[in-house]
This record gives sequence, C-alpha cells and structure tokens, in this order.
Amino acid sequence: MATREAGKKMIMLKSPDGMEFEVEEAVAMESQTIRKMIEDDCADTAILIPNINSKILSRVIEYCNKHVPTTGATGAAASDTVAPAALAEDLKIWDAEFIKVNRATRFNLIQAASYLNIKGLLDLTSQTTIDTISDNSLEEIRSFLSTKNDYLPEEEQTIRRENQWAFQ
Amino acid sequence: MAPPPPPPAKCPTTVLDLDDDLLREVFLRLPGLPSLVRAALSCRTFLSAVRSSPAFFRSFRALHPSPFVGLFVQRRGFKPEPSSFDPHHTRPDLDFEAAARGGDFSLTALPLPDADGSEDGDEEEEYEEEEEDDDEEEASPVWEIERCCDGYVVVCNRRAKQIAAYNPLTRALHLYPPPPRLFSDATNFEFHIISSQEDPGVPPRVVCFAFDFFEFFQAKAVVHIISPDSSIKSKCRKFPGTGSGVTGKMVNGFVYWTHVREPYITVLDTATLKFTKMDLPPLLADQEGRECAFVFGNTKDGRPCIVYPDFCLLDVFFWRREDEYYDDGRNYWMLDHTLPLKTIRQFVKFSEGDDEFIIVRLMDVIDGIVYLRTEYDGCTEAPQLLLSFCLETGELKLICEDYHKPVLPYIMAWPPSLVQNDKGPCSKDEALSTPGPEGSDVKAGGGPTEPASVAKA
Repeated sequence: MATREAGKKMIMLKSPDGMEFEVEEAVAMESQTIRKMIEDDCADTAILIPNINSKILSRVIEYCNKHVPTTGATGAAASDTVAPAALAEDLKIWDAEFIKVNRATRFNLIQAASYLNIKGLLDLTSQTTIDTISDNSLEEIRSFLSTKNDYLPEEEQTIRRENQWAFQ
Repeated sequence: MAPPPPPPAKCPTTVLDLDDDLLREVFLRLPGLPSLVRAALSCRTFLSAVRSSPAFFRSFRALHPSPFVGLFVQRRGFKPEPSSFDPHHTRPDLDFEAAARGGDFSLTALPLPDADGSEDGDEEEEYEEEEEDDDEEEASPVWEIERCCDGYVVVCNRRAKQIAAYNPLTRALHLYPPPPRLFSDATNFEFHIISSQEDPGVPPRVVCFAFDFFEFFQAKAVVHIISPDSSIKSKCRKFPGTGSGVTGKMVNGFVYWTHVREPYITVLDTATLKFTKMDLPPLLADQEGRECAFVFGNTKDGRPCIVYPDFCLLDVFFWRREDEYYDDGRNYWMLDHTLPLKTIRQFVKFSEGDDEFIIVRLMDVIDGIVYLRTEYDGCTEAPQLLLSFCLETGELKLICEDYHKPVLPYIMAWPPSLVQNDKGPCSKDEALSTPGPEGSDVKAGGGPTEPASVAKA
C-alpha cells in the first residue's frame, strides 16, 4: 500500500466494502477513468470505486504502482540508470508473477481493468485468458472457462455441421 | 463517460460474469479466425456475443486478416489433373492446423459425374443432347478449380456439365445449372462468386462469363448471373466489346475485366447489371504488346485497388480523385503509393547485378495480401518461389518453392455461424467500408473509350 511521501499529491480510493487506500495521484491516474474524474474536478478527497472489492482493488493498485512512469517514486526498478529494455524485461517478469492468480480473480481483474480503463492491465488479463484457450479443443475450452455446452440439440447439430473441423 | 460499474462481485466470478462488450474485448486478442471460431462456438453466450456485433466483426477483421490456409494445385487444360491441396502456415497455431486438417480440401463432397455425362437432368438437357454427337472425345470427369473466392472453391465438371461452389471448411455445396452450351461452345469462361457473406445461409449467385469461339466474327461474349435455386431465372447480358483476351476479377460486387493491349477496363456492377468502361492510368495503359501484368484486388479495409509489379517495386492504384490542382470532381485510377520489394533478396540468393533477371508475376491480391511468384529471365538454377506480400506492413513472406503448376491461394472466410442472420437488421452497408467505384462515364476524347452500352440479351 502506498505511503505518503513529501511533495506527492495523494488521493484516497475507497472500496465498497469500506477499505480505504491512499495512493499517489500519479498512480491513481494510471486509470483513465480516475484520471478523467480528477481532470474534470469530479474527485473529492476520496473516490468511491463501486463494485470492486478491497482484495481486487489492492491488486489493481499494486499493478498501477509498478507501472506508473517512474521518477524515483515507487518501485525498485525506478532509476535513470536502468536501460529501457531492461526495465521492460523487468516489468514483463513482474507481470507474469502478478497474473498467477486463480480464474475468478483474473475475471474480477478483467472487470476492474475495464471499468477503471487501465489498458495495460486489461491487455495482461485478457491475453492470459486467451493463452489458456487458444490451441485447445472445444471441450478443453469449456473446461478451462467452466462453461457448458448449452446449445439446444438442433442448434448444436447446425453449428457442428457447418464447422466440423472446429469440433475435431 | 465512465462505463457502467461491474456487477456486484459474486463468488466465484466466472467468464460468464463478463458482459458481452468485455467478452468481445477479450476475444479480439485471439490470434486469428480459426481460434475465434472455436472459442465462440464453445457456448451460446460466446456465440451470441460474437454474432450480435457487426462492430466486432469489423474490428476483428482489421486486426486479424482472413487467414491464408494453403494452395490448391491443379494443372488444367485439355486433360486436367485432379486437384491437390497443400496447407501452408508460417507460425505454429493448432487452431489453424485443425482447420487445415479438418476441412474437406480433397473436395470429396463434390458429386461424381455420371458415367456418360449426359444425364444431369436440368433444363439445359435439350441443348446438351444435341451437342453430344459433336464431341469427338469424352469430356474430362475431373472437377476443375476455376477460382477460390469468399471461402468457396468454384469448380466445374465438363463431363457432368456442372458448375459448383464448395466451401471445404463449412462443407456448404451449391450446384449451378450452367448456361446453355457453355461447356461445348465457350473457348474461355470464368466464374465469379457474388458474395453473400452478409446474408449467411443464402447460397451465393455466380457471374458466369463466357467467350464463344464459334461466333468469333461477331466476337460474342456474354455474362450470365446464375443461382443454384432453380426457381430464380438466370439473367443474361451481352458483354460489351470483343470479350477476347479478357481476365476478370470480382471485388466488392464489381467485376473488373482487363483487356490485353487495351487502355481501358470493363466493369460490371452486379447489383444493377450495368457495364461501364474505365480508363487505365497511363502507366498501365502503355503496356503495348505485353500481357496485363497488373491485378485487381482489395486492401485490408476492403478498398478496391490495382497492383502492378514494376521490377522490384509494387505500384498501388486507388480509384479516387486527382490531387488538389487537377481535381475535376471525378474519380480516376491514381497511383497512390509504391512499395519496395527489395527484401525479395533474402529469399533469392544471387549476385548483385542479376536483379534485372527477376520477374515478379502477381497472382492475386486478397484483403491487402499480394500473392506473387518469381521467375527468371536469364539462365539460372535459382529456385522459383511463391511469396506473399502485405500491402500494409510491407512484410514479404516465403510460402514455398514454385510447383511449376497453376496454384490458387485459398483464404478462409467467416463462417455463417458467426454472422448474425436471425434477428435484427444487420448493417450491411458498413461491412465493407468503401463502396465500389461508382462507374464513371467515360472521359471525352473518343478512341476506343466510348461509353459502354448495356445490351439486353
């Protein structure tokens, strides 16, 4: 969780379950939704983030903290001496660790990333989902995503007939 | 405006808790059409999210061009060989392989022609029985691939006297009654599919162009619009001009015919069945004595274009207005940009000065991908290659070494299952972002470019 540092403007984010998170404005503005609120002066001292529980919100803030353009404020990688390529590599490794979460959390993160409009996080969470379903049979996709074959028999007959290859 | 907040968190959240917009957002990141088909078909929620959005259809196509699946290889002519199919893909993709493996690319579903070939029992029978006596040699029973278009392989069978459109992936097969005497009299014919992608489930109609040798002195060429539905009467139009030495290509509902050694092209609007003539740009009109080396096609966003190989360059022409100073309010085929093909060197290894020996032959331009083959003018042992070139990125990819046989690239089309067809008006007009050329009257100045007349047959 972010702590106050001298000279940084801080923002309070509140989850619906009553938790409060104090974050740097720059970190919160990784979310285009919050950025717009701040720029439009719609933000009071505290912003309520509806429907994103504290567990998910804390993960989102963790992500933003890591990804905020660095000026020596947050992560360990923040330094002028680190080459951009190395920095990107470091972020990639960090992302890969960050996204090692269960399915439910990942879908919650997708929803949160979409609502808060954080492109990098949406890319990361969506791509991870895609990677689990690409190159798999239909049955495997259903099992990975916990969905069911819910077609009516005649519907299934039609789509099977038109897309035989996809069912093989 | 902020999007609506996500629904209250239930436990545990599943993929079905994502709303349709979010599902589509995720699906846009699938690597290509084969993966999308599998993912979308896995349950009703996914399928309806994909089907219900023409915007998604456009975005997905813009990100992932319709995939090149492979090459049909067939030697045609007097004694055509059976076709074969070679799948080609450049990166490992199991969904793609499943499509290439699971599709009926051996075309086994095509009906076998009757042994004597005269019994296909359609309305044209009278004609055909008369002709039978003239046939000295029995027509080939092989299904010949005329072209690949819109996911269909368009084939004809001279013995069965049948035309068919077959989609090896969806296995949709449509049989067309041929125009009278097509297989006995026409010395040259072409079939062009009129896309029915926006009316999935409706079998596509076919434009059948036939040039008739026996009426050579009258230089008779006709165009028929045929449908597999026998209750729809076929329409017939006289082709303006001689019809000799022409090559046609369908782009967005317009067929463009080039004429050897003529400075114009003939265009048919398949919606109105009206022909127009268009002048070629000077660079292409001046190719005296040479065969037309340029090809018609469409860019990734569906815009009609002409691509012309100019040594190791590709010239791209669009139908548009002249630049500011010369703009007279009319459209012309204008040279829009030129792309270098110099990366061809990475595939063709030969000494520096030998560049001039390379001849690039264009095969087709489909959704912004140019399919080309290299040939050599001089004596050389170097292999001849089939390549693809992306008009957007300039990326040149090797498909394979040349087969020394006619090949046709097969491109997967969106299956009808993924296109909305059961409820609500689907915005057809937007599916193709650019309308076809609106058929100019011919420029003043006489010569061979008189306005094309629409003759009723």
